[in-house]
Amino acid sequence: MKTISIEKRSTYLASGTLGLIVSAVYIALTSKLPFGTMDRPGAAVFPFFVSIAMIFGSLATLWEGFRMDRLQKIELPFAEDLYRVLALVALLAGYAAVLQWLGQLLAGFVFSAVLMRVLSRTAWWRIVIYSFVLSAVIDLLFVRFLSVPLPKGMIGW
Amino acid sequence: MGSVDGILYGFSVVFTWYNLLAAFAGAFAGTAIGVLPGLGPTAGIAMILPLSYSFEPTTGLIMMAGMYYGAMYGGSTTAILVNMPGEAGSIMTCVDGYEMTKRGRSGAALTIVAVGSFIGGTFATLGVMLFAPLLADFTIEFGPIEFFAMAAGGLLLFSRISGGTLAAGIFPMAIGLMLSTVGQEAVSGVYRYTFGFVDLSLGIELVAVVVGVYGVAEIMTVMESQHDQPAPVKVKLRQLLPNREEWRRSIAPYARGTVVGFVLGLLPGPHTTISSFISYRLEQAVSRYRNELGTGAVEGVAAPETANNAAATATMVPLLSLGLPFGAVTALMLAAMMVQGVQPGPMLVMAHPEIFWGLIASMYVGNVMLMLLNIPMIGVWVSMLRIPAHIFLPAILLLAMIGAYSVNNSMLDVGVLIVMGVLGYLMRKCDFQLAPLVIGLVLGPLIEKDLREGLFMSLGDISAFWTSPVAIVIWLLVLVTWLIGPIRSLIARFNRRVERSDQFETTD
Repeated sequence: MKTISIEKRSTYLASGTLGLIVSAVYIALTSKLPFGTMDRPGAAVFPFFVSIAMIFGSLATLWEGFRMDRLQKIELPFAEDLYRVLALVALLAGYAAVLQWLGQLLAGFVFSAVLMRVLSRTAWWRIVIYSFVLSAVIDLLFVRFLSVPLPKGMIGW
Repeated sequence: MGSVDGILYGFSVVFTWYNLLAAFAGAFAGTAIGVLPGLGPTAGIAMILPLSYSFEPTTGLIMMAGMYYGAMYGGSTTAILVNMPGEAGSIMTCVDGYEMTKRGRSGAALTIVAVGSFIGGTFATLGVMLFAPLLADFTIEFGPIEFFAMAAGGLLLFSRISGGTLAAGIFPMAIGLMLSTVGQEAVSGVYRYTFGFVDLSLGIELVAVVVGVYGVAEIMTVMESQHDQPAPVKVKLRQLLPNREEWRRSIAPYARGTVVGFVLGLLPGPHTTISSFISYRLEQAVSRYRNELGTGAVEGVAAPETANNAAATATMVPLLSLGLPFGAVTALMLAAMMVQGVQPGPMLVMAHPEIFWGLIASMYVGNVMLMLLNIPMIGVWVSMLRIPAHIFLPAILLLAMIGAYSVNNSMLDVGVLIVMGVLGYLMRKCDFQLAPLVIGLVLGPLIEKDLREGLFMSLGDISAFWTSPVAIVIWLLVLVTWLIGPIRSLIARFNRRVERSDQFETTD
């Protein structure tokens, strides 16, 4: 696997900083909710305590980041390995984007076919067959057998 | 109802065709999940969670429990045959299991593991049968103050000891709690953090989060390296039987593994992983054949696998008697109960004896099924290992996305799945723990409910939360657990200073 190393320290510092920003936004939104009274607490009380936990967690992350040895590294994929992972994320997002339009059968078929191609050098005709069978089996299982209403898309399959 | 009456009642619940089928389906699917890389038991159980809503609560829980300990069985198969643990609890099994395979004893190793898992699971179920009702009786008088302490304190405790540093547990825990506050608040009906989106009023869906952080993130990790899984060796049926010497040497590790696994399974934390590690270390310390460990010793497979199955079963004790999940899987089972309107906690044994005793009885039945499944069907599991990744990974991902969509027929849940998948992947890279996030998401509403009830009953007096003796003990335990790390490093630093000043004095 091709990898690049980044300092674990910087990821902790980034996570802690992001956590503090999120906490600030969360507190700002919580302040708009009703606090109620101490004996009848409102919707804001528990989130208030959660925001304290989030601030504490973010500060702990920052603290550990500052104290961390710079030699501690995280290995991230690089080149083809990274493209493969990014391709997966893009495919997942693409599937979610087109599911309502194409319907499960077609969107699932396209998703499987493209992913199989990313993962292997299998011939296209095999990929088409495998993807078709996979989509059809899932359709049979969920729609016919379990009666789960999956999107049919504009084509209506 | 005593334990004997209870378990007999439980068997009457289990021995119906649909509950037996559920136990079988869960055990079978769990074993397959344990064998195949890319989908662990947590993500697998999350995927059947929506299915479980269509069944009776008992049936759904039986299936989920079957899947959990089935995955423990299945994970050992890849550990032994291809030196890759199918799930975390089988990591130690790789060490001696694969060495046994290299010596042509893979069949014997698989059988020893199957029998050990059966023994560990069965005796741990006996422990659950005896301890869970006692613990439920003890806690029946508890009120919201005590339950708040157990839930919130238990969550803080779990986050600290789930592995890694303080931040590695607390930061994800806080994220999980934040996610749990999204949606319509249960009592006042106020919408929190929905930004006007109707879909968000139902909250962040647990299935989407769990399948994302455990399933999709794991698959992203698998996809980092494009290598074919090594072909597993063929295992012939006649090679399955261990010889007399191997059986004799397995007895003591089975016993030690059962005890270690059961005790650790009662505690919060990654119990299956820890129990298999500690069990292996125990064998290294006390076994007569400890010099052979690491070179294909039977003790190295018998003990850890017995321990991880015993631990997986023992986690049912806090779930059934206290309503507290000490792991991601039991958090999902708790969520399944809550969605079905079953109130978890000490009253479960009285209010829903069919769930309490039915689940315990199903574990006996499930363990028998697994032993009968695993040994003759080893050929089937080995064949599954030959399925190329480019075929089963798209299948798993499609099932994951459709599973997430089907809960509420909402594209938002598919979006959450993808986002949590990326987040889970990045969190793993940075060694943040994922289980506290899931448990925070599940326990958040319960903790809020107990907090509100406690404040209501104490007329707004917040000091009531640390006046109950039970609550005091729990909070002290949390405090000790949190402070023990910093105290030890302070003591170590002090000792180093003393040593250095002694050295300076000596040289002078």
